[in-house]
Amino acid sequence: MTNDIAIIQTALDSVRAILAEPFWRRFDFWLSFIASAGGVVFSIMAFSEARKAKRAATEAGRIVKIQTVAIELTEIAQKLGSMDTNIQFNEARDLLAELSRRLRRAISAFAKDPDLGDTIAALRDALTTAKKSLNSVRPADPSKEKDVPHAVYYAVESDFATINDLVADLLGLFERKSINMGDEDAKT
Amino acid sequence: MPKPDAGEFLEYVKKIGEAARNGTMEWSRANPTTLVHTQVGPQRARIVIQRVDRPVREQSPLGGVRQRVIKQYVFQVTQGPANIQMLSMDGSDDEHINQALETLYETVSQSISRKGLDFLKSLIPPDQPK
Repeated sequence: MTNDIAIIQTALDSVRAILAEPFWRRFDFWLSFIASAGGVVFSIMAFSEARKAKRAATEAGRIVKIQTVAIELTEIAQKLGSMDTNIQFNEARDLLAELSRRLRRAISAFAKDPDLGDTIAALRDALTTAKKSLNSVRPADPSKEKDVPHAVYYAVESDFATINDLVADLLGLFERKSINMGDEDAKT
Repeated sequence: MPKPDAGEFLEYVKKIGEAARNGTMEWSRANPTTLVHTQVGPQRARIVIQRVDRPVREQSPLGGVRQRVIKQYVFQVTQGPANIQMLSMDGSDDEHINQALETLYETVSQSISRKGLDFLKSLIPPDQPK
């Protein structure tokens, strides 16, 4: 019986000694702490990489959009440069309506962009002015429109030249924007 | 087409203006900014004078770019039913020509308006005596 008590006493003393020891001296504590800290660090790294990837995807999407708009503007510039001197009023009206619709659709998303805003505003003004110029040669008698050759062409050629210049300016600005975005991607 | 003598052309422009003023040359308005004189008979011809409002972009004193509209005039003479161009003068090439064409345009425009008002007047019944 005395032996049993002694054994129990010894066991209790061992347990007391273990419980009295500070937790930071224990090996299993540090093992689990290091594992947990590693998990947190990797989570933070994964979050950061995911955010960078999202930013890169957004920028890539913007570059694609800019390139799409640039292609549209190039087609419009070609159409502006090929106007016939014998163009009639209804042909000019249809051409201006098509160009106006395509241009406004292409540029509207960038209207508030600080690099592009001024040029876009000037382009919108030029389209409005072109419409006024065309209205100034609306024929009183459409059957006699051929009596005044080149009247429609003379009325709108300057406006179309202005629109063409502004479209060229926009193309240059879009190209610069694409290059800048590419450089920023390379840096990150 | 080589450019015609400016001095001679300006003389003719002055004579056309006088003819329009005294009614010996009839003009009509093809559209809001284009005036036409048509000559029928053996030498069928047309004289066309058109006002063109050309936008000019220039630097603003306050910074940025502003748009200004300048009035220029185009003068054409065509022959026959095929409208073969015999003469074409653009006011943007010479300021003196542009000013002369502007004067002609205003003179012809007023004669057309006068003709329209006289026609309108002819439609209105005379005042009945009281």
